[in-house]
Amino acid sequence: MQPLLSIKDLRISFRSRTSQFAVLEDFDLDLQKGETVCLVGESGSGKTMTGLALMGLVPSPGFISNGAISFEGREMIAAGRNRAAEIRGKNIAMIFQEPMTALNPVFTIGEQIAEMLRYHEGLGRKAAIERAVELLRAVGIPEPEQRVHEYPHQISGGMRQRAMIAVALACSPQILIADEPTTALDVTVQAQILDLLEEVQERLGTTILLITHDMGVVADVADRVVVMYCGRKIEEGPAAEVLADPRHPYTSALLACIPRPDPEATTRMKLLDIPGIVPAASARPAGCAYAARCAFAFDKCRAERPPLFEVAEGRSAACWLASKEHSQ
Amino acid sequence: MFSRNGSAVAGLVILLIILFTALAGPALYGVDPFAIVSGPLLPPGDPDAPLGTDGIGRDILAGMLVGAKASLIVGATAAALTMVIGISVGAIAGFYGGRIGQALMRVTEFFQVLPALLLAMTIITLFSPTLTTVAVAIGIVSWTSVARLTRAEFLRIRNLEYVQAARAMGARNRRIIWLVILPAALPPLIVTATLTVGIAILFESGLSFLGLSDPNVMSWGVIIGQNRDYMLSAWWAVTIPGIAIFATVLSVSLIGDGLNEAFNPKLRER
Repeated sequence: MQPLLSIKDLRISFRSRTSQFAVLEDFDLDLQKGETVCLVGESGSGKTMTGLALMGLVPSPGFISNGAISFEGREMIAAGRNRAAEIRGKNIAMIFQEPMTALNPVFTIGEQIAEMLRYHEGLGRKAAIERAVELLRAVGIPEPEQRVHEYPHQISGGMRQRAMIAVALACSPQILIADEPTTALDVTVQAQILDLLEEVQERLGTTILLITHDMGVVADVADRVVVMYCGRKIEEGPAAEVLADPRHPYTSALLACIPRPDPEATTRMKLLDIPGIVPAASARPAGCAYAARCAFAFDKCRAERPPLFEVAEGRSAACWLASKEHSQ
Repeated sequence: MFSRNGSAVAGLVILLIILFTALAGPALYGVDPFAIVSGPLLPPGDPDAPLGTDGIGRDILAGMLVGAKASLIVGATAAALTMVIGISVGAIAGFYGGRIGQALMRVTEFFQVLPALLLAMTIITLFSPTLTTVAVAIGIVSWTSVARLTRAEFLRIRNLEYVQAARAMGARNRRIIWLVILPAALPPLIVTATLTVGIAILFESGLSFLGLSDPNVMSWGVIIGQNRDYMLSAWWAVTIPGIAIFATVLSVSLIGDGLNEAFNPKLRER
């Protein structure tokens, strides 16, 4: 089956006067219709950059130096700005981390939703506002007839994120990219927003690419998970299998970092972390980028970078421990 | 809200009165401002000339009523021109930055260092001293500060997340400049625009005072300019148009402040 969206061999580079380095390398990803894929990793792992690349928003001085992104089999990077701008917003929409700053403060919620409909679908002003009210109701905003005329600062954080989702959903996109959509919200509101995304997906069959660093969110919503480290994909597979049986030590370490309250414990639980820091994008080591922090690293790890090994049906991991010769 | 701001409403009332007199005054009063109606330099209160006469016996009230139109039109046109040039240059410089931005800012600085009054006088002298030339000259010498303000606002706003969000929703550069960033940059620009109207009216008066305005068109500045020799003996001939200019400039400034509050959603009543 042809994937809805396909990323092949993507590389994003940053160029300064003296040097050029990649923040994302050899990145492949296929998104199928209706699935939820989570992109996880620490800050600087390249997960946000991947989302921005899909939207054509790689910030300067960064640029896409290699690879292809195709939507429904049509190439997007080479298609030129106008063609890409048509797909953006209409077929692929994005919701951002901070609903406060991602909504335009000088227009009402309704005007911002209506704007999308008028621009992409050519609706009239009145019809667009009516659709906006429906959309606000669909994302669970109470009294949408009144909220539609309010400004972003007049509603709460959770409501703003719902409004942001309504803006993104205005043209019924096939793909919704959500870059840490719950990070800026209260824990109780987080769950509501995730429920809303799942509900939207069920109703519209939307493909969701969720960018997060929260393994709890992954366990909650993901069909498939892609773990990233230092600008590379290091593990991929069905979410349930990866969470139950991680094949890359970094994935295991990330999972170990989730605090698990133990009602039996008499002393306070120690929070685990991964020792060391992510190497800078401009100074990546020759071998596995994780080797310096990995408890299982051996000489080969430091000398040679492991490729992605297929470890099971639909599962892969970039670790020498996962290679066939090692398991024998 | 605008209507709850007392001083803004006062400004609007003053401006409406001035606009009304400018539009209806000449028809209601019906005296030719260029006709000699009585003896020279009669003080206000004379039965033939309620606000007195000027140095050659022309009715000052008639001059005030007819001149209001020219002063207001020149002020508004010059301010509009100033805003259009300033916002266009500033928006493009701030949005694109880089070489285009640098080049545009050098041009702006070039205009900024030229003495405004001298440049305006040169333009008016080179072409004919009509109201249009005066308005254009004022526009050409005063757009620089608007351009710098617009550029600063664009530099600040273009990196905000909602501009990125707009791009993610498929908006292209031109759309982002005029429909996303400009509305957010408007509040300070609106205040500047109203202040510019005041400055333009003052500038026009100043040019008329120097004898550089169209002598065949009555304006407040022309009355002041033609009576400057009698300033000490006949105070009314320059003070009355002076008060009118002051009241106009004050009223547009008050309106500007009121608009600033009304346009800023955060200052609005919930």
